[in-house]
Amino acid sequence: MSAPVTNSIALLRAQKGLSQQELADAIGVSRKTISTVETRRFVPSVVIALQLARYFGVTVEEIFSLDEDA
Amino acid sequence: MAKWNPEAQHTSLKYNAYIYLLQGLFFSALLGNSLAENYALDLGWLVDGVVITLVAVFIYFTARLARNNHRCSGGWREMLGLYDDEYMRDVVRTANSCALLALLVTIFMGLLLGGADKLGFEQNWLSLGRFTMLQIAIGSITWAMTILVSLRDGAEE
Repeated sequence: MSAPVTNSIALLRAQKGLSQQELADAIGVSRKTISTVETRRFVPSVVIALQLARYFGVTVEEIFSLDEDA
Repeated sequence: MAKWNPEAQHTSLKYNAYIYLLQGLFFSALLGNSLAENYALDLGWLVDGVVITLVAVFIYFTARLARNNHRCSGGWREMLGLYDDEYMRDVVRTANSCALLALLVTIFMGLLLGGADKLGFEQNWLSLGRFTMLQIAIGSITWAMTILVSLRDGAEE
């Protein structure tokens, strides 16, 4: 079952030409964490959300949003 | 305190689950042998074979874990299962909940069987030793399978 939160991590990562492993290393989490967040199997904590936003230079709302269809 | 590499945590948890699965299979084999005694069957040779195989697989997984993970071992955190990667923590919490639920169901079934003394069932089949082996097997296998299913490999997109 997917979480009711959508995210644009895969898109932002593709724009920067990063692999999941490179992004995971950059923010200090496992590749599995990035992979499961991207596929909406896992909703990360505020700490990881803020780290992702800071890394990509965008706001948290630009990365995560509520799935209106859920 | 040095940060425990998140990828090493993933590897550690995965191998930990394999070891718990082996433990569950080991106790299942012992339980099977114990139950076979009720039919006057001697399955000692089969159990010995299973135990030797499981010990060999255990040594293989332990050696592989030590080889792949030695540069970024979590030390005592690894021994106690104190993961700090978020997804690993979430997976361990889920596995703990599933194992606890499975054990509670087993205990409840034990309570029902223990109360059915009119059937004489427990005199032949049920003993504290066998019930404990069943609990260890069910708890270990449930915990390990929950971890392994959660950590199943997905290709990078």
